[in-house]
Amino acid sequence: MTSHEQHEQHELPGLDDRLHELAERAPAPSTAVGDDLQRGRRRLRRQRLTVGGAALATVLVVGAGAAVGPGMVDRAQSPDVAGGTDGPNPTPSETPRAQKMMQIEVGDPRPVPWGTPLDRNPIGTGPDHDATLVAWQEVLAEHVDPQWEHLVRRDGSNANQQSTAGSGQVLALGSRYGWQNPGQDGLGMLQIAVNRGWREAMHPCHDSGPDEGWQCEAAEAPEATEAWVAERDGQLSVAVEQADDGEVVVLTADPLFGNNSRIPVDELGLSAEALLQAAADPRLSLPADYESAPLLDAAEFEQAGRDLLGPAGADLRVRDASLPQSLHFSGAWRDGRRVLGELSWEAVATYGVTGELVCQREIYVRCEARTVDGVDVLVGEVQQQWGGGWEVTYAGPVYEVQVAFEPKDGQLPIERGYAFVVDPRWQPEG
Amino acid sequence: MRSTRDEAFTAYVVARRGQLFRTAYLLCGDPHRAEDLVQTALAKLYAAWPRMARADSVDAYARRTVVNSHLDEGRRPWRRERPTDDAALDRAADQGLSVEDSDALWTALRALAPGQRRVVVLRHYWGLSVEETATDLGISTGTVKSQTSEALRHLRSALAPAGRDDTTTDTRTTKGIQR
Repeated sequence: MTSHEQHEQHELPGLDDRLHELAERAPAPSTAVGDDLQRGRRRLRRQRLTVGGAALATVLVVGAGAAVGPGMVDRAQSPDVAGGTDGPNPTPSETPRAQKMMQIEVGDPRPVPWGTPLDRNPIGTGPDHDATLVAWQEVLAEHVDPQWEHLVRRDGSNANQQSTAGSGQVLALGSRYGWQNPGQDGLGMLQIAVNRGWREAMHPCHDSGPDEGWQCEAAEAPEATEAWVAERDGQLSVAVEQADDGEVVVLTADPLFGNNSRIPVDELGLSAEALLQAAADPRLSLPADYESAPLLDAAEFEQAGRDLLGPAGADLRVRDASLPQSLHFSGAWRDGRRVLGELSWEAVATYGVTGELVCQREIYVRCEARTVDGVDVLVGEVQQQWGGGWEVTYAGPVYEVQVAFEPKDGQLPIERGYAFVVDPRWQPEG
Repeated sequence: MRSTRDEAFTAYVVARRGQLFRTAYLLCGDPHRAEDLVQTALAKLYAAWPRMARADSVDAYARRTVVNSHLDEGRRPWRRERPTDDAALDRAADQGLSVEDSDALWTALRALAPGQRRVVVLRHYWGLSVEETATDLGISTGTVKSQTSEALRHLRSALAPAGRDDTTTDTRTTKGIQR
């Protein structure tokens, strides 16, 4: 602490504590974590840019020199070694493998506009469960709206899906179905979430007691191990643990379909008993485990990163933060005591949802797309406040592969990133 | 990856949402706007999660987004800073600061120029250094120091015992706090 800072502290003692006490009194709203998650997913969906196809057919082609930003060393400027034009050149030689990998076909850069609107499914949600969600709506209609006077049939224009999946298991799956009242402009919703168990379920009555503002009551339902009813300001939510498989079905009736309307319906007119009966229906069950992406060989992936990305003989101290179907390696690339840059490479299962890549204004200075060996790759120039440098991403049919380089005293030819991400080994067939 | 990102994000939100909300609240003084700021910040954070997690910058990114979103809102003519008339002040204090202290500090904080308030919140609520605060706000360390000094001078003046009594009496009368 500087003398100036000490002076400040001494001039107003206790300010830190008093601010904390004041802030603690802020009337924090009761916001479900799941809502933050959904908002984040929507934002991610909006920020993903369509690469290839029609979206890029309309953008201008610019010269390679103009499209390569700081830290993004282009082959035309620096043929095959690291170091850049004015920095050190610590890598006078390349491995044969690396030289071979440099023989890739790289197309001209194409600028990528910000904020291309998209309606596709987000990447990484696991398999598409549309058929299941349509069937669930039919089941719910039998219980609460047999004449289909209120429920808005799920179709391509209103389909939404919330899911949590991992290692081939669907852990939670749900959707929000629109609910209309004849003669009213508003839109309510009936939300369903079927969860592997209470651990995955989000309901205001479970675990740590009622969430703020909710009134909870234990309830009974057919063939249920445990059931709860929660009410708050016109919202009604039930949770039923089905005895046969332990899955927890959460149904929530809300007069306002917050995502799709600003106008609520007067009421849904649904009783807790009706929702409990519906939630106990054994047909509301998670789909079978899906066929997950074939696992990559983590050791091979790590070694390939060392061989193909880092220069020969480089001191690359790698940290491994991998999970099954989500491999991540990163490390500082050193030359003696100098850190030349931070390098990371990762592969994340995409479950077959491809074609959209992130270009996020908060992260990148700009993005560009290139066709590399016949596939579209996104290149992002990272803002300096996040370390600068570049990220190269290929969303393949099985894995999304990304290489990131944050330069310190060195540079890394971006072609290495291109070559690595399009390596067919990272797109294994079942 | 989706579940990995979701799990990590969820854990972060559970741990940090309250602090981010309170930061926003201290900055803008309006719980509804504070909630808007936090929702925006968390949505951006989710989209940016892989890089921020890799760079171990999750907190910094979320905090900067809250502060910068507040900066952006402050530039809009229809969301200018306004005098405090917050219903939250009507709530009785439960422990720690007395109602008088709480009101006086709140009033003094609200009276600061927005830039000074940001510096005070980042330095004294988040405990950031001068350099970290400068980085968050995109200003020089010299500006941070001068704004901090000026802010503390105002706060000292506003929180002086004699002035505090006057201020809190007026505030209680205005807000109708039950004692």
